Amino acid sequence: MIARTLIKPSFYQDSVALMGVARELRGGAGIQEAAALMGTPANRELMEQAGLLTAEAAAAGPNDLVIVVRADSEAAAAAALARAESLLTERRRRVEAAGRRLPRTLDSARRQLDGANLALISVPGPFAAAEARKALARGLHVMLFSDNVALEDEVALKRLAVERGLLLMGPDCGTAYLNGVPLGFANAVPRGRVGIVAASGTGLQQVVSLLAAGGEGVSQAIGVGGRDMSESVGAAMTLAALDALGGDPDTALVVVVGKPPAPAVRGRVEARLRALGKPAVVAMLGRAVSPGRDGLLHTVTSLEDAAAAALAVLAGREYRARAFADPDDAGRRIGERQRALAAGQTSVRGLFAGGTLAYEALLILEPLLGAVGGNLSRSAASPHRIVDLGEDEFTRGRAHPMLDATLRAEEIARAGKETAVAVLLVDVVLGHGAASDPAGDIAPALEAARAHARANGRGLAVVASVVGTAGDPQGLGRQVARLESAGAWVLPSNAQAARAAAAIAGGAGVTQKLLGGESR
Amino acid sequence: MMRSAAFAHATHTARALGAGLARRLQAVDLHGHVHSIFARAINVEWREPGDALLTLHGPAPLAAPFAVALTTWPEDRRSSHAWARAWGLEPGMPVFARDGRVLAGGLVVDWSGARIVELRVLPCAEDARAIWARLAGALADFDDLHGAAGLAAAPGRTARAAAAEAIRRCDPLALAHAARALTGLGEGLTPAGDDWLVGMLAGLHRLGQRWAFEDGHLASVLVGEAPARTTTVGAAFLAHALTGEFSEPVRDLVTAGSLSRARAAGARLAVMGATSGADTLAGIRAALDALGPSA
Repeated sequence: MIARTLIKPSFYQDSVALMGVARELRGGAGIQEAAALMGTPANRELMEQAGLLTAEAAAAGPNDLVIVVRADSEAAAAAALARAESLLTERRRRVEAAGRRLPRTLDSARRQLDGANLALISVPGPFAAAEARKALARGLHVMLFSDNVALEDEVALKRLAVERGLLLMGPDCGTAYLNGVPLGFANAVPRGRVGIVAASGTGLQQVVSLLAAGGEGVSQAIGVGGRDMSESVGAAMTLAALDALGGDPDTALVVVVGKPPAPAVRGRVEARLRALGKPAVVAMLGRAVSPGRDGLLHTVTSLEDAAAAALAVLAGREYRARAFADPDDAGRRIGERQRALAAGQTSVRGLFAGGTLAYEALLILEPLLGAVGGNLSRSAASPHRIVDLGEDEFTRGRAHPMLDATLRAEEIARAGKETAVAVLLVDVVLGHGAASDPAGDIAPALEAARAHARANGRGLAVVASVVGTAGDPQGLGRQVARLESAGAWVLPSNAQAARAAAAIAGGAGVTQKLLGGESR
Repeated sequence: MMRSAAFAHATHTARALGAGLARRLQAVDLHGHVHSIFARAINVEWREPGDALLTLHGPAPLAAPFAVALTTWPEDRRSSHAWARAWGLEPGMPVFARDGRVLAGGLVVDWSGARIVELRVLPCAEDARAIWARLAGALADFDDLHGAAGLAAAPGRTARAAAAEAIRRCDPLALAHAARALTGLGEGLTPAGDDWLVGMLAGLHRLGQRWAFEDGHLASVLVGEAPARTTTVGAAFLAHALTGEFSEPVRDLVTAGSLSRARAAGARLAVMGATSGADTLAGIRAALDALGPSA
């Protein structure tokens, strides 16, 4: 056994650095034990107990850095001490080159960004709750991007957040805007007067994009996670977010996006909305929801209507929901596509990247076409199917369809070969965090599917919507143009796209129901 | 005529410094040298025995009872040595303190207009049980913090247990023995044992445990022996802690008037140094646990 020592007089490193050096040395070939400590008497005793107190270490003073290794051979000891030298040098060089060390823990990140008040946590679900708890304990608001967080953890974390007066956004919170800063998957939108509480990421993106198209921006948009309005969670964050927006002088109007709250929670949410003293638009997407107005509270049934109602209220106008922004154009295009269909082509196939967009399409199609199947519904026998490709069953081991279009392209090709499919209904989501060219990623598959149908004597309508703004990195105009070049009819919202799909596949009866007297 | 130095002189204004340090700087001129340079701090060691250190850092709560916080700090953190060179600083370089200024190479720090911060922790007239409960509540947030490994090794565990037992029995001699074993123990520029002792002393001061300081046992270890048992910086922290002087985050935590303030101060302390904050919090916690809620 060989023990060798490196003494660096008046050489100071922090404790984490020294622990890291010792750990690294211990893992080296032929090394039995290692220490990296200041040469204080107490530390020399530690080294003695570990069989590491060499004559040089024993003679070291409290201001000397002492590195000792016990090794199987002279060569292994020499290599380890050389490695120690290089680790200490490397560390200094890394700090100097990077401007700072990359943080490995929440606390080291906080040390680097003095005054930070929010932690965005995106670690695998089983570890996320512990990190979120740590962040809350340090006084940080939390955006919990991670999914697969246990319900009981969510309840406990939100209770802690409420106690501390902090926000716990999520779990599975994909989008938020705080003080003008977009977080997660987010579109480039201006700051404005609308404050949003959202239990849905893509739902929030659709609303803010449509607001931006109408010239309005966002004061704050707070994601609360899809389970927040369940009985177990009790709308803890929804209520906290409403309180925050109620007190925010920049918020003139509040929009709530999500699914209907559990019956036990509904009363509390509604009471808090009424107590805001500000107009509110509620888009709780569900089968039993009816549009209406009760004082300052406006209830709508689609994401598009949420944005349109907010714009109307802020402009002092009455809001009236419409099936299509341009009924004449819609009527003409629906007719063209219906005439291209072969006999037996009557079904809609929705292939979605956005979960809430898929659910909204389902809610729009059902009353028009009857039962709709897919992974959001129990109606397996229906000819119509809406598929949320962002669900766990499709994303295990692969990226979300907002990032990777491979799976969706395969599904488009498959649907194009089905003789009953009349309409392919798709969404494209832009913004920070999304794929760099999501329309371009699926356009070849759409073109191929239409070509295949044509070659087999069928028409295949492609109806799409793009969630995004002109300021998004992908460019709204470029993405729309790419889809149109692939033969898609691109509508201004997901709701309009779903109605158009229903009209094309449903024939004259559905078309009449939607367009009624609107189309000339 | 003297030739000008190769580096530019730059006068920086101090934002704050501790009251004890200010009194010392006002009373006498000091002469020392640059002890160590880090990306975010410069330590100066005074030549006169007993005058300990002076730490210069950026605009932040005072990180030591002997710290001076400047109003600005070089934005470019890429290299501590780059800006240190610009100021003509390197370890061993002479430093002077006189006439309301600290002069180190090309760096001139004018502290004459700085805020003087009282960093002494005094026993509170408030019911000790209330202080105990508030601090215990705040410290519960930091149970998951990991301190330095040296404190978790057998000698550290034994010494910490001995310190806790000495506090439970109000035994100053046993406490001094435990403090000796902890002084200089573990990793870091301020070894983890020193940080832990600083935390423990903050708890004892705040909860009015005068017995711990009255007979000189602890002083003989923390002032008499510490310079030979720990690093220069560690010894300076211990000497100040003995007299009840602490960094601003430690003072803020133990003197916080409400649970929320205590939590906020704890959060600031938790991120001090690499593991110093965590080890200091553990020391405060140990004192509280040993004294119990009826402290």
